[in-house]
Amino acid sequence: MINLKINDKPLSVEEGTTILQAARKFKIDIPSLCYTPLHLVSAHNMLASCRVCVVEVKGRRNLAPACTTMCAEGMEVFTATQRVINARRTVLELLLSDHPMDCPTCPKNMHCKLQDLAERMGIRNVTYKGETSRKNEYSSNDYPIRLNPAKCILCSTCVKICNEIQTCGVLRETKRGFHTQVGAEFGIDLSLTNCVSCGQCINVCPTGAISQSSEVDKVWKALANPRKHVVCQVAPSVRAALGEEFGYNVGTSVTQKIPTAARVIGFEKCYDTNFGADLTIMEEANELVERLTKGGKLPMITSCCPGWINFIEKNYPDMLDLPSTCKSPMSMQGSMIKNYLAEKMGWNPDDVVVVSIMPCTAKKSEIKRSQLAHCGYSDDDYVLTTRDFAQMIRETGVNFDTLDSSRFDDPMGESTGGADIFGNSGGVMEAALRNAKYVLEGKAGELEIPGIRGTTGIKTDVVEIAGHKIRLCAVSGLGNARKILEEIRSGKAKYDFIEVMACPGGCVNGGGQPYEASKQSVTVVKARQQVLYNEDKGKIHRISAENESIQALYRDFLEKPGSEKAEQYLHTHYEDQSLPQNKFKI
Amino acid sequence: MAKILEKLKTREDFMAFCRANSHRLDRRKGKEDGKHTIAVCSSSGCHASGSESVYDMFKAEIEKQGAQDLIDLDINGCFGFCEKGPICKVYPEDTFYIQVKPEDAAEIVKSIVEKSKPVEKNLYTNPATGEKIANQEEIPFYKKQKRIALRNCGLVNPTSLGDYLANGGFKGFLRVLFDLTPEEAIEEMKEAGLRGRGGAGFPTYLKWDICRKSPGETKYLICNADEGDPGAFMDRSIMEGDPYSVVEGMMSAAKIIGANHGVVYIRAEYPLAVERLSSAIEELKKVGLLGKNILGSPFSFDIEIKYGAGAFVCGEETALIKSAEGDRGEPTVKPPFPAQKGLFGKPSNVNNVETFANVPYIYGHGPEAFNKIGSEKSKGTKVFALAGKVNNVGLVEVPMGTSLREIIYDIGGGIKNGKEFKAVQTGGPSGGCIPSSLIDTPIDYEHLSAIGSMMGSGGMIVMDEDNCMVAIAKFYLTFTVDESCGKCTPCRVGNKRLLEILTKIVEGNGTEEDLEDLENLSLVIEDTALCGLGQSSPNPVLSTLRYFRDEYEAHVNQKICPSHECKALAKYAIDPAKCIGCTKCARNCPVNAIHPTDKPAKNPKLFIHKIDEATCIKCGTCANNCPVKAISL
Amino acid sequence: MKKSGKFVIRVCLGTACYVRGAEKILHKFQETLGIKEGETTSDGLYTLETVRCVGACGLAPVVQVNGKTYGNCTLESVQQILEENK
Repeated sequence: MINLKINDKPLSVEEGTTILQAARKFKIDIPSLCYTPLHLVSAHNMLASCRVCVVEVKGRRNLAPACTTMCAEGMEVFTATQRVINARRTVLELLLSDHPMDCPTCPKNMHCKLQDLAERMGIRNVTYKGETSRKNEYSSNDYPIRLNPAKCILCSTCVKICNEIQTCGVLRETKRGFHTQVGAEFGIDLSLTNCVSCGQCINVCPTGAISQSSEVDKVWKALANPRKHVVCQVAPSVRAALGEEFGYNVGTSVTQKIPTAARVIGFEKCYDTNFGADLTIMEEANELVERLTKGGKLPMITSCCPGWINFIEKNYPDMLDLPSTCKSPMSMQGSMIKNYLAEKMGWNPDDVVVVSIMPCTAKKSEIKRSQLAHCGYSDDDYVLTTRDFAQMIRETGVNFDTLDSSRFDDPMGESTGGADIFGNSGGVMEAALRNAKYVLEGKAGELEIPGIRGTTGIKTDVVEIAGHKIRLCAVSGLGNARKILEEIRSGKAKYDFIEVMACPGGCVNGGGQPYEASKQSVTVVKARQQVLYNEDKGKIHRISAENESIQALYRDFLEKPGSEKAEQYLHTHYEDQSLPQNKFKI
Repeated sequence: MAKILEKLKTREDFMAFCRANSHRLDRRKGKEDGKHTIAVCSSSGCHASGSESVYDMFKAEIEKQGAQDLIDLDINGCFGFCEKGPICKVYPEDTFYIQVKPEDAAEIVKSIVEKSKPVEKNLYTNPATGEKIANQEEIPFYKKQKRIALRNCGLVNPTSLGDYLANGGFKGFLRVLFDLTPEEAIEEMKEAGLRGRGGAGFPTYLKWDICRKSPGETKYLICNADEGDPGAFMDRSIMEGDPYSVVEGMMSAAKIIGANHGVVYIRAEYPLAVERLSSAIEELKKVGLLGKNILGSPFSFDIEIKYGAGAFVCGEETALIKSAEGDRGEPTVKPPFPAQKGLFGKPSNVNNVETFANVPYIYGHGPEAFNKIGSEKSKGTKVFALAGKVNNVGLVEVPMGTSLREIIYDIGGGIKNGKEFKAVQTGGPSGGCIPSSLIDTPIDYEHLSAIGSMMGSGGMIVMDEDNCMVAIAKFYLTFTVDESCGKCTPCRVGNKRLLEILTKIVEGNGTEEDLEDLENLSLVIEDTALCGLGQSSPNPVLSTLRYFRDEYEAHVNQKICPSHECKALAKYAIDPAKCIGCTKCARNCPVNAIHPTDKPAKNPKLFIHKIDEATCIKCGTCANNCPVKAISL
Repeated sequence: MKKSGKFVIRVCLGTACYVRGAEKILHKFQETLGIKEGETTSDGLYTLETVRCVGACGLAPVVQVNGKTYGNCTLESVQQILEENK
């Protein structure tokens, strides 16, 4: 243990503790800005570049950054002297002097660390004024991730996430000195880079420098058009986090308020993407069984996550035969709404607008895939993130707290527990295996696989179904996915079934989830995961095949999993999207 | 050089090799053998003044006058007296010729052939007495110098290993390799008291000791040759004039800390230095002094050259390492120090060129020879690049503790054109301006930092009464802003804001409040910036504010620039007593700002002219054209 | 990338040169050629650039034209240098 004094208070901390960690442990507040703990992915961003957390250390010539300075025996630290406060204020004013200051219209308004800090330090006037280094302009709304370098404080947390955790290598510091900015190399458009639009950069960005595209306005416009049948579908992870936007504790389920809220907004129908998830499981479990029993290509890798699909298409074009050909639940459901339900409801498919409410930014890129269109219309029309949805609810003025409980609309409102856990890393795999067991063993065993639950990046297990030993691997985070793909390519890894989710911990930690709690916190992600596991437990049916509406859909329309019709509407294919520079590496 | 048939494999081989070369500098050291050598300086300074064509002309003249058997033509490293370049020396007479033009070659060769007196017009003239000086040692510029790091510069042919050996080269390394344990060698370095010559003055022995004790099989030894201060060319001259001493210093250091890999991180803008170093390294590989099991010892060492892209910040050791790894050249937080976790995560030791150049001398002559020179805490000598408004510009090496006055007046020959000395700037963009009142300050690490400047790498720029100190501060800040890596807020944004305030002041828009903001911001940057460069970047502002506050106040209060340097604050006026009404100024004014008044000039038919300040663009055309010098600032 | 002129004039703005009036020489070039730093004259003859220390501090202020160095420059040198290079 190391003994030191902070503000004359004697403390003992373990060796290797920074001043900032020590102070926080003992409830001494040192404001910080660029320092970002990323517990979920076992990393810390501690570049010490912003210089806001400086403190006075007795005997040291200059001020020390609390975030990176280690506690030492006998150290005397002062966190609130005039010298410290003046330095902190000046540094903050410098940041503000090169900041657009358009807070009220900023997409991160009220979710911005810089804004918070300015409020806490009581900045009412910026002494130093002058040229601003970067243009206050967001990149195109056509791409899910939007950059506005003018709002960047150069903490480089996004660079760390993008390069070290997701290994996409897109965001980096470019230019030098006053004009340093974060973006793709040579400032090229993100759509032309290796970006997979996972949106993890948005979540860790402390300011409005990285934001998502928004189609809220277009959705309002569609809702205002009396000719249109505007329906929505809501992904499982949304219910595990939406409450956070309205002041509920992390880990509160708001499933039953969602359909009510959607109807308040004006959606004609509110369907549950869980239905699509059950449908996915029917197809995917069928594909797995086929591949297992008929000597197909193994391992089979799940294909629900659009960030992951972008990643493999851009980085491993030689391995595109591994992912399942199943569309994602969102796309399957969109396809069924337009190609099956519309007719039943007597809607002209041209007038149906499917709005998908997702925890995800990559879904915005998914709906633009040309493979996902039939007869001229795409499966889904607009994607709203959880944050967008919350914004629309707030815009209506309705008090979220007093919203009544209600159910999703049938026939695409019914779902099983297997669909609920789709939002968790390991969940898709668990649901698929339940169904596979049901198909192969013909009995309704409620399979749970603890080995592939939780927030760890790479989880492995083995289950035995009808005499087949199936070697499993559930991966979250694209760096981990890269690791596994490399191992598959080199022949080192031997798995039969792999699930990949681009976001660490799964969709519950998606790039479109509420900001505050999304900063790679293990507690938050675990709490959200628990919501979904609880929903699963509470369901009458926990195996997708037991979903009666699904059974009806197959009876009425699709015939059976893997049928010609199912192939046409529910399956897709992948294309080489690699950049020239990636090709060289192969 | 004696032809080497195979590599040197033992100490004995090497000693024999040294003996074979020991005579090489005899003539240069004054020993007569009936022949002569003309050595033309081949360093960048003289090169820029045309030394190459001088060399070619000598060659042609020697042939023309049939003196091939009498005169050897050779090259030399930097003599340091770059302003008087191109410089040539004739041995064994030791005649020092300055400002030699190609057309002078004939006469110089003739004087040697005819054994007549040296050619007077190319000799140095003592400005004080008017007498011609033929001998280098007698020139005031060299009299007070003490050359240790530059001991070979101007004496040897920098491309000749034999020359280097003949002046005691590798004696020190041999001791380190065979006679001293690393502990003993570090003890000697401690006794010698050498401190880092890159600027901060960290004790060299301590740096080595920490790195030596750091656990790890692989260690790196790095030579910081990224000399980035504008107005500093010490390291370049050493590498160009004596590359072997830098390499020997690296070899000794590597042996002591246990590094088998050396890296020279050098500016790509120094092509000649790169060439000299590379050929020195190649030569040493050829004879077996670099490579595996040097001279049969267990010690193996190789050196690789890596190029910097001219970023000032890459002179900072952690940024240098990042850049050498191929990453963005940005400083990282210390600890971990490079000695713990440096290049590619391995323990690394970074020293600067001049530091390494001192090492062979210390091990060759013993620590006492070094520590008897200098002041109490700063031992040895320091090389400065003396430039600016002094008469003798060039590279000077003086014992630590020499006063600024001695350097500027005795060595530098005083201020140019009889102007008044105002300040001297040391330490480059990280240093400060020292006013004339402190001219007797002894130059060492402690004294310079006490007066708000720093040793830095050794730039020393002299300023006279015509230099505006606010403009100088702005000049340095422009550099810092250009060269900031952009990582930490205080340096990235803070220095930009400092520059903006300074610009406002020199443009005549400053206020009293700006001075306060300037001071506060400077202090905060010093207190909070991430790396040494950022922390020292406000020094030019703080030191000028401290010593020349009156100049700042004149700019903001009276809106005048006392040195008349700031154009925006210049006010041209026509002296009515002198104006003859010739209208030449009015006719030449590009903006029609000059008009006649109704007052008659000396010639009753003509009128006195006046400048309309609001229209005037301060171009100075009128003043240049006035036939009676009636217009001035 | 812009095409540079037949003669690239580089005015050194290193400290030694600055202190000895390099900025005035730069202004003189700008005035005479009617172009700013980084620009090329419309006849494609001259490009004006600045550099930070060419290491010839002894010759300050220094101007380089296509690699050739002119030392100890004065305002008068500007015309001379242009005359010599055209």
